Amino acid sequence: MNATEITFDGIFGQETAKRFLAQAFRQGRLAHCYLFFGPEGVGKLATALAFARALVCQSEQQRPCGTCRNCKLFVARSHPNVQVIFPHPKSAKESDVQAVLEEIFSQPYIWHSPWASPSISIDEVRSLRRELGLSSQGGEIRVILFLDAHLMTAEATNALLKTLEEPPELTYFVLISSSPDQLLPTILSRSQQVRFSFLSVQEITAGLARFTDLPEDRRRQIARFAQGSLRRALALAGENVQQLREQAVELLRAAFRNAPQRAMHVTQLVQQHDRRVLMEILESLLHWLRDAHYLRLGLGDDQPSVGYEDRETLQRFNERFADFDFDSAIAEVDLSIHMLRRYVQPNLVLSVLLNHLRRCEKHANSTEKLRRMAL
Amino acid sequence: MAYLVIARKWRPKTFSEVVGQQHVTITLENAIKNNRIASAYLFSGPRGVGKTTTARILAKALNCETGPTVTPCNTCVPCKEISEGRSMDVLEIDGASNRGIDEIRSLRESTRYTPSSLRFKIYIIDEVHMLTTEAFNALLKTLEEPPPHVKFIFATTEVNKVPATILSRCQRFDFRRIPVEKIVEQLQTICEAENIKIDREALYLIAKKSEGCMRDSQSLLDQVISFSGNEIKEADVISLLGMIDHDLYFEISQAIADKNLAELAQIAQRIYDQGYDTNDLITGLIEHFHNLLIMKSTGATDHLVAAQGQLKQYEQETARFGETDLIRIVQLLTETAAAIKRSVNPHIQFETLLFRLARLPRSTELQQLLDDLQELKKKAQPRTIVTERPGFKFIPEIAADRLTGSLFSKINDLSQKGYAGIASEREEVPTSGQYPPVELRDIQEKWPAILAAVKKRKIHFGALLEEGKPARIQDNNKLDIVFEDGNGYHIHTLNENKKLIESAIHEVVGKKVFVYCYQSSQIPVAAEPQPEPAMVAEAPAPEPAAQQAAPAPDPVAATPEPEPAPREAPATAPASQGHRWLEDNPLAQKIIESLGGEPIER
Repeated sequence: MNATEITFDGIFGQETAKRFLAQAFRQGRLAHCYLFFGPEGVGKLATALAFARALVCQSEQQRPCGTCRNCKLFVARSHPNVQVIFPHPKSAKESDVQAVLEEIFSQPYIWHSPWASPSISIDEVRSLRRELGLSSQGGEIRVILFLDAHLMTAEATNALLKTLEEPPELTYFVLISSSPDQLLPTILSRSQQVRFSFLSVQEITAGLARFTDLPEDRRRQIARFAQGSLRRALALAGENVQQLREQAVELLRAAFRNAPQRAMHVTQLVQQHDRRVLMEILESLLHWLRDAHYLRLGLGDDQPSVGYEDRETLQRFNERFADFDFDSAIAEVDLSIHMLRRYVQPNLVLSVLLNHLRRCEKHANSTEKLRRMAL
Repeated sequence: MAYLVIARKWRPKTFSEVVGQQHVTITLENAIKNNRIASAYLFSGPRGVGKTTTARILAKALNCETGPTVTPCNTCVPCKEISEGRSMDVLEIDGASNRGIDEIRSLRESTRYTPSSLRFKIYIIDEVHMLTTEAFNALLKTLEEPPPHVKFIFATTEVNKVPATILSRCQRFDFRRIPVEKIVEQLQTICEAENIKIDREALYLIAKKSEGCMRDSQSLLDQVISFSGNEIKEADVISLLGMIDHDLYFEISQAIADKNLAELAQIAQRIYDQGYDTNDLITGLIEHFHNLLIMKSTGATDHLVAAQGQLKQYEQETARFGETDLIRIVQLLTETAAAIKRSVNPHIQFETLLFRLARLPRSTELQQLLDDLQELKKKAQPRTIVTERPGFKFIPEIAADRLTGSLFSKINDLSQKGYAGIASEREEVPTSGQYPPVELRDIQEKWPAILAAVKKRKIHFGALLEEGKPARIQDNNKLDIVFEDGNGYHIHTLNENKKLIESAIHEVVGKKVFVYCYQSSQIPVAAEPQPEPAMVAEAPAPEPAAQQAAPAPDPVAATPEPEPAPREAPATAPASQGHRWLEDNPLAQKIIESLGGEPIER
């Protein structure tokens, strides 16, 4: 048993994970390897850093104390016993790597890799193993964080297996991954898995309040759109979400115009915006359709993830297209986003999508119509 | 000393402690007893089932001071050295990090020297599948004819990556996944020794989640213990491991059966809040509906993969779905699973999927629809079918019209009750004469008001009725409403709901009116009813004809030999003149009335 408590300040949500780690620490049952897994941008890294800091802190009561030598070293990013291993290309310049490391420590919620296809190489694991063969600095606790552990090469992963199974004393690993299914089962079975879940709209709103100075209603709107990821919300903070929504409605309107007008609209969109913005517009359309669907069903008022700020437009849409098949429309928009992500020609994707959306009205509830006809 | 996780603390030290791999341990024990120890072993199998452990035990068994023995003492110097991994002669090599040809070359060099203190020099190469091809090849000669004091033990999870030339030089042992019961037993032993109270259900959940791997189960147990201390409940395991409570699936299937979208939306929100993985959920849902389907088609619970406590729930739930419904639900789920996997917004997709499942038309509804379509098809083939026998003929359009719906049963009733029944029924049906007569002009003048009254009752019928025109009044208060051709749907629907229209007219005009709707081509022009061309019957033999027609609901089947209407056959008597034989034959009257027939007389 351990009289010392650890706290996680500045981590939004993730109560189960925080409680689990604090409990394990209190009971003196820390495992030597944890896998923090869950969606992107929900605070895995931030929690891992806070956890590492608490582990190396020397306080006997409340950790992190912020006053002991180790805490100060940690804040100065120069603690010798905390190592962060993150994927980067072999050719990356040392100064770039240092800059990214600084960003990881200072802005764990915002950080994202500047490289296209980075990986953790076997060399890095080998040098880590060499270091672990020596005793730690000052004989103290050592914490090693692996960011995006699923980006380890197969060789690197395998080289880590023996170490993870029986690491030297006082050494703790935290693997962080948003796609644990890409990790070897042998890695998974050697670690205790800590699940991180999506953040609620409220938690993201709170996060936005901390990191930005947006007004309350904008924050909420962005939070709804951020799919439970604070990182995504922060990335969206600079964008005009309202305008995206309007563009989405414009796109939907275009679906019900005649063929030349449709083609015109698509061409203009593709000329004006790049793939990323187009994806944002479609995402926005997805949410808009969902909102309209909820309004039709009369359900959304107590759902924080549903927003009716343009209730009139939603209402008019529902009146005009009383038979609109939301289910397949939403599936189609989602498929289009997927295709854009896979670098299919935007022109093609959008034209096909508009045609599908038209049909969602025409062929809506075909069984329903058949029934009426037959009666 | 720092805390040691259960998996390491409870690593077996003798062959008998290795759980669930008797086929391996017994063979090895016999080999040791009979002094038939091979020079190279390959242990393969999934992670965490005891490969490395068995390799270490084997090394100890061969080198123990009391041995070679099947029960290493674990107390002598060699045993201890091997356990702590510091023996000079038992080398545990990580194949994944020492994978190159250089490492293997130096290994080969060292095999030449006799062991320093022990009986055998043993090389344990873990994760051997990661060796490079060159490294494997460099090993081949040594492996084939090693010095007598050298033994190799390879362990791997991916035996398919090991070259065949290596495999053929080793004795290969395949380790199996450990059955759930054995894992539960082992965990139980651990918990008792560690002084931890835990439900058996919780142990089951852990064992199931670990997919037959002991180390996984022990990591999970560790995790649960550090979460909830020395007293562990099933619910703790569920919440900590992010497992999906089985009740959730039942909630979902109930809401789908009820077509309760609001409930489903709430469930979807809850799933989102709890951070469940949508892929896990879909897999679970497929399993759930699959269980329901098996239950439905076999009618028994023998084949279900479910805990005992859920069987009753399954039994109840099954009653709410049809078999074809379940098949279609499972189909839709499997189809959508892939789309959700690649989706950017899996939660929105999942929610939409739930809505879709709830909206799937039930098979009973579809059957109805098919039947209706069948009727439509019949209507689309206008053929005048004439009974060969004298008596009456059908006007098929009208007959088909009237046949849809409840008339089947009515005719069945008639055939069962026979004459007597009809006689009494006739008395109940009010004859038109009992009501004051109605003028056509009256109706026409008040038509807009009537329409409004109908619309007030049901706007849909009002809209349909607008297409029609009141055409004539017969027998004082029988109102015929005529529609343009092609309005079959209008006519049918309105005839089905005559009562509503009649009551609306009654409200406006104040008189009882009987309504019937026709297509304009179906009836003779209102002004002067013309006799339809009809087949001339040979002799009035009404009784057999009636009996033949009555029991069979299908007009086509009722006529033994349908013939096209002979246009040239002249009508001998106008319909309005009345038919004597008909008056004696209430059954025929009834049939004509309900099927839209017309009497014929020579």
